[in-house]
Amino acid sequence: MNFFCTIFFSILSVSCCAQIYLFAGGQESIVRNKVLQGSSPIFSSHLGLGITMPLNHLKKISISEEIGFIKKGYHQNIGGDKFEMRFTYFNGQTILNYKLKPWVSAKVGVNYAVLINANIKKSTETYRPLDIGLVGGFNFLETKDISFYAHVVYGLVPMLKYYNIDATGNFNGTINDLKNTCIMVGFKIKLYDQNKP
Amino acid sequence: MIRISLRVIFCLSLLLINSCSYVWVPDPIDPRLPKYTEKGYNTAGALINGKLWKSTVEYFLIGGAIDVPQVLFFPNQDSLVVNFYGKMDSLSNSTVTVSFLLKNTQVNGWEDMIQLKGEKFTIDGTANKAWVIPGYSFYTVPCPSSATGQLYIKYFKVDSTAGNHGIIMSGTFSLTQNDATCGSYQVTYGRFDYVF
Repeated sequence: MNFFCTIFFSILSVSCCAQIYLFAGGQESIVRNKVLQGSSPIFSSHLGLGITMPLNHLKKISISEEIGFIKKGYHQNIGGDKFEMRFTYFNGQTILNYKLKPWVSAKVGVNYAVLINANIKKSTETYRPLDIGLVGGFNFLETKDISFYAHVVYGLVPMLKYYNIDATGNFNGTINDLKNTCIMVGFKIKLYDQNKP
Repeated sequence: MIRISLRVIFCLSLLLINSCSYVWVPDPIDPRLPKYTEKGYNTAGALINGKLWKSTVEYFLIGGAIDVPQVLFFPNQDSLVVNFYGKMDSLSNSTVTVSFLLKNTQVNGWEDMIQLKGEKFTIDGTANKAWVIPGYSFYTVPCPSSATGQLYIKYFKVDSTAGNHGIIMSGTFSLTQNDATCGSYQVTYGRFDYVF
């Protein structure tokens, strides 16, 4: 995987005026739902690699492509018993950046994530492997070697597809619920900037 | 050569044991309970008076097993007994048996069990009966009055590679029992997924 990523970014960096960066940060992961009792957010981390490519004709607009790993999940306190559900996703984002001021740009985009691991047995039998969401937020000090970002990923795909079983044991259709929301902050370290000599 | 053979036998035994033992997958809505599955994970769970009752079938190398469910056939009386064994999480090592007596099933043996697929039995205390019994109970029922509730055998699959009888049976149950001898129990959200 690392080998292909290196090749991919190398080609892109040669073909356009690209910036390559490493990003890392933390997030509050919230699961929007109507079915979980006593759920609360967890705080976790993310890490990845990205590339920003300016569009030639539109000076204020650039496109970023990011890949990395992110942990999402929730706490649940039910009947006094506490549980922590953690899901690790391989994550990708395609983002459109719009420079508002020299030091801040707004960003919107799409986030797509593939579930690769969880602290729950047979998690892929219970939870959907693909999570897709919308991204919105801001980048700060992008011209510097170290810059910052804050954005929200608003999940659109329900993580869970499961039977709706009542207390008696009757099956009343299926539950399609549990959508991720991540409020993320972090920093970027510029690894390569083609504009720089 | 003998050493290698012994190693192979040991590894195969371990593999065999692991393949029969339980897999606990937590329910995504209430993780205290096992998830409702149809895979033969050899687990069952329920809330008994709001506390977890869980059945996890385990086989041991030297012999013996725990929480193995039972199905007993009584063709002469056209009845069938299904026993689930599990433990209350709140009380250490306290086994509780959940027992069902089903009448008029026309099931005389394992070969007829497929007929029960999709059957929802109403436990009314007269034709179909059930009991929640503290401790292990195999053939005798110490409680005078039956519980009321439901047993739903939702899934039934013949799988020659699974268990002694090659059968996977999954379903749900719920009971209400008020008995002076055995106690008062409210069983909710019961589910099972056993290999027989």
